[in-house]
Amino acid sequence: MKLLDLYINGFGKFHDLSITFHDGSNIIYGKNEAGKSTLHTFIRCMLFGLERGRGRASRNDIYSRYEPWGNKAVYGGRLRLKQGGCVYRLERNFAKDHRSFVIVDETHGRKIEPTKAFMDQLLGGLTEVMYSNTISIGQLKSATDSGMVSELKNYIANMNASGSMSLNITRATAFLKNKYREFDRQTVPEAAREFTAILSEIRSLEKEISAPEYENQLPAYQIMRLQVRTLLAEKQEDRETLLQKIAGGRQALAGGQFTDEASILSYQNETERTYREYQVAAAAGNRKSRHVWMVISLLLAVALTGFCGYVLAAGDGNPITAGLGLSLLQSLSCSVGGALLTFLLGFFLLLKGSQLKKEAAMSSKILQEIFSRHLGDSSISEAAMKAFHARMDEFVHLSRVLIRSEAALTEQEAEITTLLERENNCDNAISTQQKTQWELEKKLEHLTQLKDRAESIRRILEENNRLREEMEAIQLALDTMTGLSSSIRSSFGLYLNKAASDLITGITGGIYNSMSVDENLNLFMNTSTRLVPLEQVSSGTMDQIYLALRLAAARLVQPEDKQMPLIFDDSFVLYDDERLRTAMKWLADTYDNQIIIFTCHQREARMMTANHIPYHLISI
Amino acid sequence: MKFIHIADVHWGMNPDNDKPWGRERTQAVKDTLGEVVRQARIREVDLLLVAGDLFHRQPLLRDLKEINYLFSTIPGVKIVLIAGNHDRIRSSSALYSFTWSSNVTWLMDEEFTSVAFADFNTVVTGFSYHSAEITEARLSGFHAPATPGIHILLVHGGDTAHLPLDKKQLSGNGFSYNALGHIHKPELSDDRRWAYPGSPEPLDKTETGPHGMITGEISPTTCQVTSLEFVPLSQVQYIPLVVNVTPATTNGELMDSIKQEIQKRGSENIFRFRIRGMRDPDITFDIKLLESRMRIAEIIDESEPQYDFSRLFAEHPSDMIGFYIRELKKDDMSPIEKKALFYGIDALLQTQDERS
Repeated sequence: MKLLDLYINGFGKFHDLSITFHDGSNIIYGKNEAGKSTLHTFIRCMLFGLERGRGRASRNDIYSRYEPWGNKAVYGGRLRLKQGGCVYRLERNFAKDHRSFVIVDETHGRKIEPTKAFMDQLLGGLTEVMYSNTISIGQLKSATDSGMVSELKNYIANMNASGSMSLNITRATAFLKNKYREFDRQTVPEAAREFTAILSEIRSLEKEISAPEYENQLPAYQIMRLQVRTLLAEKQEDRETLLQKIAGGRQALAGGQFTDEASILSYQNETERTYREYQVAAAAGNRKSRHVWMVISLLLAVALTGFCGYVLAAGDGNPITAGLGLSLLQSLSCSVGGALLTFLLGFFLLLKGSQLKKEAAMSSKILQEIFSRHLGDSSISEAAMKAFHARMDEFVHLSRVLIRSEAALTEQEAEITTLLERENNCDNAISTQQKTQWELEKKLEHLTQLKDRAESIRRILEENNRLREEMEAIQLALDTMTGLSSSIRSSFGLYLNKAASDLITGITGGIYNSMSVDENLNLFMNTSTRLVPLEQVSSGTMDQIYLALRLAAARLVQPEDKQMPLIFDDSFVLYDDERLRTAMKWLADTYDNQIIIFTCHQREARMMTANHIPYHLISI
Repeated sequence: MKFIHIADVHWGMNPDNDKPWGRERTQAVKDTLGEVVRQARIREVDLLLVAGDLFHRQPLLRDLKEINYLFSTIPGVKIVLIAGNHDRIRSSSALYSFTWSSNVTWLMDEEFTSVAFADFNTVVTGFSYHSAEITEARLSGFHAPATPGIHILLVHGGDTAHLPLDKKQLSGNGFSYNALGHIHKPELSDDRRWAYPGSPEPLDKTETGPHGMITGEISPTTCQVTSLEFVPLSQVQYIPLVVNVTPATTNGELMDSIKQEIQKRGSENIFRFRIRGMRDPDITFDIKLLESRMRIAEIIDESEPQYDFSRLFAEHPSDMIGFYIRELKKDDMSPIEKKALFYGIDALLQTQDERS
């Protein structure tokens, strides 16, 4: 492809400017600020268009930078070029409200629809980015050697790794890795572990709580206790009744001054005996013979005493004794003796009678007392005695009942003790239950806390997963980029390095035979004797290497038949005269295509004139 | 016969416990039950039905006391409860030894049991959960007894693991009304034969829409439900909103539109935002800031940076950007691949060397 001429309606500082290009070398000369960059940008924009607001930062906003200084409605111009035997005229207006793009095929005299497909075909698939990367050649911008080294290395690295001088894979991957770290920092890696720990704690706690010991048996025990209490109340009431009965019985016994059955029986026997005695005494005392005999004895004693006196008075001669033939003495002694004897007998009988009377009175008194106490009537009789016996039998019966009741009471008390024990057991069981229920509640509360915590962690885990997804995406981006980069290196990179290496002999005038790039993208220059690292070559050589690489890239990205003009923008500033001469000569010999050189020096023109290289000079 | 039907109160639950408004939610769950009780009093209902999951977990004694106190304040209202899967009756349950106020009946049995109320001629039949799941369809073929009067079935469940049931069958099972629980979203059948009241308070950011209780009336003569109505009671709603963005949307604009939406719908509510659309690749929406300023449970940013991939590809046909797009951009990209595409392109464009 060849550029024929251009006309600027309005672009930056230029308006109504015509420039004509020739075949071969064109040198566009202008001092600093003359507008070389404007012209250069104009050509690019005519080929690729100019979008508004591309690149947000104003420094990159080419649109506003090159807005016409004068009439802003006329922003653009036309460019004529020849491609494949046809002359095309590209007319563009970039102005906001008057945007237009017209292509005219001048050879065939027709308008062509300005489609992307047509432009692709016209430019051989070259894009603006590729154009900037390759055929539009500037110079290394750094002023210092070390700056140039890193810039050149960066260029090589970018070209080798990404196929574009502006795409920096190292920085892009660092950028991604940074993002990755940022997400990684936000994740809570211990959450998963804590979650597992909490889940297992929840499980074991739930298991613990479901153990039989925590079963709520309170109602069962409460019912049991109620039953025991009812039973107990009944028993105690019975006992109270029994106790009262026993107390009554005891009191009755005590009223009779008895203690037990034996005491009753002995009392009964005693009374019986007294009664018998009473009967005997009463019978003896009442007998008449005893009184008769006593009176007879006493009368006899008086008679005998009287007889005695008569005898004494009558002496011996009394008819009675005499009649009997008894002496006075004999009869006297007999009568005295008889009187004494009968008197004694009478007296004895008198005494005995009064004693019997006394005894009978005594027995009667005792019996009267007994009867009045137990029967309420003191009269002594066989009937009373019978009633007494009946009464005593009652007492015996009572005492026997009492013994039985007391046995029953003992039994009942034992039962009550057992019941009390059972009640106590229930109480204990209930309080144990209440305690376990209390423990259970604590555990349930803890469980609630754990579950809430688990819920929070689950949300953290969800967030972790979300972050991991981002990280996974970044990792995929990194992997894809690295993979693509290595395939770019092993295809485009290799070709580029080889093509540049092929060009380096010509550009350096044979000082270096070739160049090589190792796997770390370090560049070495080869002479026949040694390998020179990039860091050790001069700044001029670095520009030469740069030129070689750019030209190699330009060759690689363009089809053979659609080679665009090479455009140099102050590319040779750092070249010394010798190098410039070599480069110019080499360029003229190597490239039969159009070459456009923007420069602020007159050296290039001079050098070409001196070397008899034809060129067309355009001064602006 | 007037009744109120609630379910799934989840007393003791702490929704949003990692959010600043978490404590308020815990209290709201309790307060709204108090409101139900108040409604029962002022509406002078005969019956309050609680269809399971009154408690979020096994209730503590003090929970029972709290609830019993509430119920004791409406002695004229008969209250019938069953346990659901969350508050199922375990052998250690404090329910076994708890004495309820005389107007409260908890159908504790695992099998169907009934309680009859002669004053309003009503029998309520139901059962409590004793296990976490009931996979048996116990309601299929289950019919109301043929005895006269109002029959109400009180059950908890409705999914495969919790008493699977066919809602259509419920309309013909002979019960005047089927008071259901378990599903947290209210649902009332057209024939007024059954209803899920839902949770009185929404318990999770996914439980959107109104929440409250059901009131109804059953005619004592026909034994048919004559009115059935959902009454919203919840203190807040979870509101899901979609915000659409364009490449022109800025952070401030997004913030304003979210704020406006919140103002419009009541700032006491809790919101979930989903950001959709294409955003300027240079803008990342600052979501955290929005979340801390308002009651926003969640913001899901599904917006995508608007890269013009075809233009990028056209500009970079033979370098990393072009290769990268060709490698990843497909019609059926997985979400991760899509993200990877955005991340990679963003990284390449942001780290470009300035020279061009």
